[in-house]
Amino acid sequence: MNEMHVYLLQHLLQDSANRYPDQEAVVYKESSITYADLNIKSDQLSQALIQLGVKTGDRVGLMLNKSIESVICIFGTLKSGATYVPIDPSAPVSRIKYIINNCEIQLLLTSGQGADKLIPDLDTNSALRKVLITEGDAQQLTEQCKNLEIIPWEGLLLNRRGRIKLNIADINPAYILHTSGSTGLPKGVVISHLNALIFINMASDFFRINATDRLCCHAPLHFDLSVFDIFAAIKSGATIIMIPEFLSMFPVKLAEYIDKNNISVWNSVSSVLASLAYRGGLENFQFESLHIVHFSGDIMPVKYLRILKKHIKNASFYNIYGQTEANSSMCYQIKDIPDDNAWKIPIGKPFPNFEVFAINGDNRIISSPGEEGELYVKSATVAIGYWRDEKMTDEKFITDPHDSSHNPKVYKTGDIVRIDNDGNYLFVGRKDRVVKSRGYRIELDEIEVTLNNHPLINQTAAINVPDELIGNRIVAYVSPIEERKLETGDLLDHCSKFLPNYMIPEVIEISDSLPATSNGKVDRNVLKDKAILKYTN
Amino acid sequence: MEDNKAIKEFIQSELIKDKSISANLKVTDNLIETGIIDSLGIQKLLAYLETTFSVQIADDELIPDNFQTIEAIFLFLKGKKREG
Repeated sequence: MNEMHVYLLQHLLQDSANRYPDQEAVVYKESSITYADLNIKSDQLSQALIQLGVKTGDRVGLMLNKSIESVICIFGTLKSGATYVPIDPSAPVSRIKYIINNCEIQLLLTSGQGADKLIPDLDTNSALRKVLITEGDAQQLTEQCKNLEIIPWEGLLLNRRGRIKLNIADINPAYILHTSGSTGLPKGVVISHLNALIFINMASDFFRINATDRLCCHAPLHFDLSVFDIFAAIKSGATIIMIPEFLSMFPVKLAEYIDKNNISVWNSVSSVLASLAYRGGLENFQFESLHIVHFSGDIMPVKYLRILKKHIKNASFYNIYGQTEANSSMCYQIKDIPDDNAWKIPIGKPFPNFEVFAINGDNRIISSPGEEGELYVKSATVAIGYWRDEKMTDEKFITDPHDSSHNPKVYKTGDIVRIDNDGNYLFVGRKDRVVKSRGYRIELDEIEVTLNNHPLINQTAAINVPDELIGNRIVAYVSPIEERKLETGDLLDHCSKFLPNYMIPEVIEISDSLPATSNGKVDRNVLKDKAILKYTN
Repeated sequence: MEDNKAIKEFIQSELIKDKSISANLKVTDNLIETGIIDSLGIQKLLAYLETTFSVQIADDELIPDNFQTIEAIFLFLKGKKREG
């Protein structure tokens, strides 16, 4: 067995393929792939990508739902020296086009279904030149679009042997994940190999992930929870169980899938676990293998946590705190649950290679229980910054204000926290207008900018209504420009062209004018009270 | 078939935001694969079905087979009414 050194994310796979060649690496529905095959296929793909013109540092788009191929594509892209940019296949075409052009993606890996949706709308100014389709009819797509080279997956990997040797700096970008942006456009968070690797090494040790584990991958690939699922599993020689997207809608089926596939490590946003507790019929399953449950993204209601703990008996439960920009920095292990249903689960204490601190209004680090401040995260996992947005990068990724010795970089989270009597951090709220819904981070400003771009809208207020099952529901209030009439259906249609589904307001209320504050701005506090009263379940 | 129409209209007006998709919806379209029903949409749909058709949908009836298409939802409800 060759001694392997792991300096880049793709080395995790090469190392595990040496040690566990016959072990299942990925399982999706009825199919699976071994470590040896995943390693060979991703090597072959990387050669094909290079032949197609991909160069070190290029961005390659991955518009794929979860599948075996999606993991081959991640590692194939990394092995070609490129940066992978996962794109939500269900996002509106305008958003997909924005990401493609902003990241100058020339090559996109997608399914035929994804290409069908995108290609008719691509203009000649698009950066995109080549589309590799993992399934579907390449011939038909070629006829539809003369400007693009459509490459079928079939046959692509054949007759390719060996591995390409490239020099890639570990501080180069490995992937770019897009989150909601207050300017009305998504922002790309750029994460280096080193950022991700340091997190993966720590988290795999901390949670003692090993080759007998079966880790779920519930989050979509464009969501940062998938980074732990995929790379911590691959590092450890464990098996990734890809959860089909539709299962989240059917809690009993999801519970059955977890049980049947002997999943041992579960990692998802809180709302998915809450719906499992609420409608999953958990009493009908054993969950013998499940020994670690991570939840994050939004507040987990205590009543659901109690049900989960009761029926998933062998598991340790952890509230995980983090964000795409710094990865997961803190956790809190649930031991005893107090009787009080209003108990707020702490976000806990930092992982071993993180420092966190909170600065209050007097620019002082908070130290005693009850004080509040904005949380800063310090670690080598803190991302490079936002893709091509120097201003925002400088605002959020700053030099540690309390340590000028060697200019260490910290991430300014925007989260307001306090410390409890045991030294655990508690999430109190946000400094800005970011909310979580079904675990997704939503800038309410992005919704407002989108609605305000509608030609007949005068004013808009996007309001969040806290909801115990999904975190927050979104309601929008709008007023038309003088003497014009607005239709809710038209406004929802407008939103669907620019915003992903989870950001589209559930309700849009139209009125002639919106309440104003004394200085003439929309009074969101009045509207928030009104929305909470009317729309709280 | 009136129920079928009502379910279709609810999905068209409440679950689909994009008007061009809404206008072309067929009772045989796969609602799950196309993403017309998502995790929020299914909650809305359940609430609508339970209120409008006076039925209780049990946890183990919340399965893909019963919600794949408008036709499937209709047949599922018809079966439930017969039971009731």
